[in-house]
Amino acid sequence: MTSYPNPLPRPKEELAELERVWQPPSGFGIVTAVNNTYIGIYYVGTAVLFFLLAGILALLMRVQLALPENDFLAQDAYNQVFTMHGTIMMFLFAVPAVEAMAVYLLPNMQAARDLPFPRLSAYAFWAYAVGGLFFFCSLLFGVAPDGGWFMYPPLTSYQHSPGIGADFWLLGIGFIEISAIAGAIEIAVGVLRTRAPGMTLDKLPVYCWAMLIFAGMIIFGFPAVILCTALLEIERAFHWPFFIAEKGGDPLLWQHLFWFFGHPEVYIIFLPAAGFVSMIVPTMAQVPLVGYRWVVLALIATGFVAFGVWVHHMFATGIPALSLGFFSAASMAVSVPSGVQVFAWIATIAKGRLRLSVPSLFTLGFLAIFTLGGLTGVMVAIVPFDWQVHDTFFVVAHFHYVLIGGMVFPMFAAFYYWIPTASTRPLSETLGRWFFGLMFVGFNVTFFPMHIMGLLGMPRRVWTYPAEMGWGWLNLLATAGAALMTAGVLVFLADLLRNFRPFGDRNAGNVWNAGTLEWLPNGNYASRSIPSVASRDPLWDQPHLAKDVEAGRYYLPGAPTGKRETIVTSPIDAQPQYLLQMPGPSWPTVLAAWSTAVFFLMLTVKLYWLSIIPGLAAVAFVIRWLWETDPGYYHPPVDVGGGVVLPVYATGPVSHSWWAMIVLILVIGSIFACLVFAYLFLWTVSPDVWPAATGLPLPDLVWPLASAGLLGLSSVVIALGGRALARSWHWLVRGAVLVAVPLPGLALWAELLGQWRTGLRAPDSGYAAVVYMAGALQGTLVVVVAIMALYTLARSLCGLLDARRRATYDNTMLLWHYAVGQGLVGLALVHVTPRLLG
Amino acid sequence: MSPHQQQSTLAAQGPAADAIATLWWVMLGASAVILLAVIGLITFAIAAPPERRRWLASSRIVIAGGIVFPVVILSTLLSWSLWATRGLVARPSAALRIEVVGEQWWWRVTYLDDTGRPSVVTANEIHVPVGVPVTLVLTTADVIHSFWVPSLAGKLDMIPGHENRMYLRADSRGVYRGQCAEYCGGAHALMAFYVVALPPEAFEDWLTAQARPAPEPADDFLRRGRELFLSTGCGACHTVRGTAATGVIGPDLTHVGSRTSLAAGILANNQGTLAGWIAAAQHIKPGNRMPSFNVVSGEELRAIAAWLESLR
Amino acid sequence: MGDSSWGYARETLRMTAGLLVWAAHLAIVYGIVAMACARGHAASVTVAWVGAVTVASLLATSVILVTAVRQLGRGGDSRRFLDAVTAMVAGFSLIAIAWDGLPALFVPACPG
Repeated sequence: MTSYPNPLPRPKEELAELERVWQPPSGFGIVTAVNNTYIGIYYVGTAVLFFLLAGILALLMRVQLALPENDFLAQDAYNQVFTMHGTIMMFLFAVPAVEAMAVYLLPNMQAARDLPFPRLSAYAFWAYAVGGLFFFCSLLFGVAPDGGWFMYPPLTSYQHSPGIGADFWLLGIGFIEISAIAGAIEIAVGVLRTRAPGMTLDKLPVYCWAMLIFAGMIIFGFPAVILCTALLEIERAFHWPFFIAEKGGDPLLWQHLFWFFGHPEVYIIFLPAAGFVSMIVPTMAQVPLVGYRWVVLALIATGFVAFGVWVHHMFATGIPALSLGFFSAASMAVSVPSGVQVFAWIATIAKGRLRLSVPSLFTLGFLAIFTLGGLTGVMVAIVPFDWQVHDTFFVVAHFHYVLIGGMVFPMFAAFYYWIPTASTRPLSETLGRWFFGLMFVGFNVTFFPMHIMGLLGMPRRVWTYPAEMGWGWLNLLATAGAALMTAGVLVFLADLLRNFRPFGDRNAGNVWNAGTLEWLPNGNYASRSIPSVASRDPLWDQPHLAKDVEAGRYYLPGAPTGKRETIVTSPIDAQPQYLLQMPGPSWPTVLAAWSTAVFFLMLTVKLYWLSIIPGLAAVAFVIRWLWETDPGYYHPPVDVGGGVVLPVYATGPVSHSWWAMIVLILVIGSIFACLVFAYLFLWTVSPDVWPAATGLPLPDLVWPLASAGLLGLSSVVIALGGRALARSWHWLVRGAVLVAVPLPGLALWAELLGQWRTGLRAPDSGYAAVVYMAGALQGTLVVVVAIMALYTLARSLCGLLDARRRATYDNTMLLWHYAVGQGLVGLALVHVTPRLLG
Repeated sequence: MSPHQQQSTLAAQGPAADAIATLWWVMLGASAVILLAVIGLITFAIAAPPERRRWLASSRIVIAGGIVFPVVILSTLLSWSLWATRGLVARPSAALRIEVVGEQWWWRVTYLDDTGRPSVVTANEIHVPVGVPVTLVLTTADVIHSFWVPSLAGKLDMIPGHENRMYLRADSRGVYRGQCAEYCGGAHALMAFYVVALPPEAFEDWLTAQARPAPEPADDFLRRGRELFLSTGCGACHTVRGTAATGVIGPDLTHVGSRTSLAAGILANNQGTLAGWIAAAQHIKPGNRMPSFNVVSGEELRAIAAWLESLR
Repeated sequence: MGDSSWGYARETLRMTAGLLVWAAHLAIVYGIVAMACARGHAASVTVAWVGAVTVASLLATSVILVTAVRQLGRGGDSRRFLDAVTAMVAGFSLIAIAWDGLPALFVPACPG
């Protein structure tokens, strides 16, 4: 006997209202859609487009290398092609693809109506799609980057790459940085705060766990690449010598920062794919996953240890052997969680009865390929062996085994598995088997020989090789394999053309008899009502669940406030906390994204003055879009069923926006932490450009003390303003904001003036560059909090800010206090450290 | 045997490469067994009768296969490899010191005498005595390069601001090909070199010969070649000791005729390739710093090439 | 402890405590060696420091493991799960830290 939150029959107009509220825009307005089922599919589609483009580049390389001393591609073309292939595959395909799948899948899997920040997803998508296409087009004009996807300076700095190719690379990366961070905020808050009631952490689908760890890894991994790309662009544009050895910079600083991002990146790509597999295997075997806790452990452990292996990309740089040993050991440790997952999947297969459909085939292909890739991964983690095979085709083989095996195969499994939730027809089993067969054979024929090429001495990134080297037949074989893979991908495209019919009224339904909530019957509004959950596979354990949910028996069967809504739940036990009113389709969001893309493009092609127009437009559109996103508390609390009455507004630590701000602060804090590392690192390698050695005086302490005083004062004023807001003393609030706004800027000015007066100039040395860079980072933050504070002031003047409706103020205050904290730590870094270290 | 076939990690000719090759063969064997075992288990999990595969369907298997087994295997492998690393980074006593500087896209090689002063400067070819430990001091003049002779040792990067040391020993006489392993821009693919391992006496003879200035031209044709070399301005970039050519941008050509290869290991070294290189350097190695001297007449080109070839 | 935002933060730190020790261990030993080699400190002292930090980290992680194991099996599903993961993470971290300390037994601190 079950009691349901809501009685039947439901009022007739309830479903119509729900449908009306979630109606996607039509006509040209379709680009303004923000619903996860739309943005998710645009996003996945765009990622697949980049997969195809980068795949074509791979084919060009394979044709060139098929024969020794071939002249199909010239040297410059080849160098651009391999750089673009790696960059696009890593940044414009792999990361966006897994993020896109999460945007599409997560809400449905957690029975939320959408992710908590739908417009943010839309912004991230459009900035990425337009920016990525600009980036790709650089190849058509012959100005594509040619420094390899990890762009080591000094080759890529201004002396050795004076053209705009490297700037295009930095542009392309900029977009993926924006969309990755936006996605991480969305996913972290989404997984933790918008779950079906009762979906406690121990009942969270493994895929959601994987995406939570994924988001955490982006939060701590991407800041390193954000910082190092900023440093490189500043070095290129203004000649601040972060990476120039003669001036006390160090090319190895780039490698540390890049790989501190770059290796976690590999797991950022792999964990979501492992999440796919942990969902697909239990369904295909029709039993719950064996070793759920061990798999969760594996995901968490991978998420951490992946950050401790970056130096294994630098084994040949001459770093002390003992240090190499630490990272070799950590690389062993990171392989253990992968083994745990592999055995959990094997145990699950053994427990059930595996149905050998296309998703299963791709999963089995993944298991075989990924295991081999994992074994060669252990090999290259062995320091002496890596000295031989590093930067050879052995490594090329290894990482294609783990990336194509570990990410692309699971993704195709996921396409075949989940497309029935998105399309009125599932994909074809027959074509899918052809696709799998061609891919599996083609993949191994292409990449297995590369192990041998590497052992026989063939370095990577060579556009030609002499016939006498004896690598010719292996290369020819690899090219033949690439042709098979191409045929496979064409079969897949044919299957998509024949059978993929998205955005229909009805999807193909639960064709695999899966147990998780994304298989509930759904429309644009996701599921009709939001179920409460008591197990990991609710559709298996509650046989009538789908019917009851569709009948509207569970929570929130309609749209009681007349807006898009979802239930926000507590992070551990998923207890309903409040009803989140979500924004709908929006032109400003899309225009902001397009303006951002054009702004960065203009910067890249050095149209600095003209770029002001799209830059300001982007800021204006963002403000316009945000203006509507704090709807206020005017709607009374809503009964979502079963006696659960939820407030329609939240601010402070319980609110999803506060959580997003915390995530953003973690990102900014990590960027700053990377800068602290850069400072200390440059000090260890080049103490000769530090004040103690150069004799250049440090600024008088009065400057940093004045700066610290102004910062502290600004925090006090903002906090007092918050108190005043609680009492609705509006003019006092406005006064506090006006007084506070200039203070952090003045503090920064005092700091920089103090440095300037000693004669320190950023282009002079690595030390000077990193000191001014601390100021530049702080300056960015100062501008952001000033804009936010003025935005809050504007809302106050418009009567949109009061003692209860104060999320804007609370979130601004949070970032403000952080900015002050970062400023104080920064002052301590540049003034106390040199006095202590000497 | 052609020297080309010696660029292989599996044809180890020195203790460093040998130790690594042993690691490789052991790891290969273990990996093959593990891969087959995993594939076997998966097949068993799919196809065996349910009652026979029940033992495989528990968390215990996850712990045994995913944690216990890897921890045992990897602890062993890690300890062994660390032990091997210790041997490979140990500094040999009284080693011959050779400085190698990576440049876009060739290798400048300098032999140091006992006092640490340069005694011989050459390019793209390193002669070493068989059985004697050699210290290579690796630096770069521009971007990051990586020094790699697979048959003798693993690779080591050449990084601006850093001075890396590689210790290696060739155990048998031979010519070993090496190649830049870190992508260094445009013609990275065309940046090879040779290590020539000679018996110690032969090595001493070679060193003595290389320390001499360039020989005087033996006939008028060669003398004309030398004059043309100087008048065309080659000396702005190249040094030929004993002549007015003292440039330091490009390789020292004092004994260029004695080298195995031309243009950093990409051409055989003879009069024809020398002439071809002078006339079409940009075609052969696009982007390198030597212009194509295609205004020089054929006859003049032959004279210059003949003279260079005579510099043995 | 409630299921509040701060409660979640505490729970996350607790659950990942073992790995946080592992991360601190790696950062510290890496820092010690980088400093020692850049400044030419004595190799034996460096190795002794690395050893001491490793032993301290192993002890700290053991404490986390023992505390978590003693909690096991109490409370509701969610509580049991969090405690189990805490213990498993700590156990894994013990292996990872031990491995990270291993090189100090074999490899000299800085190139000669």
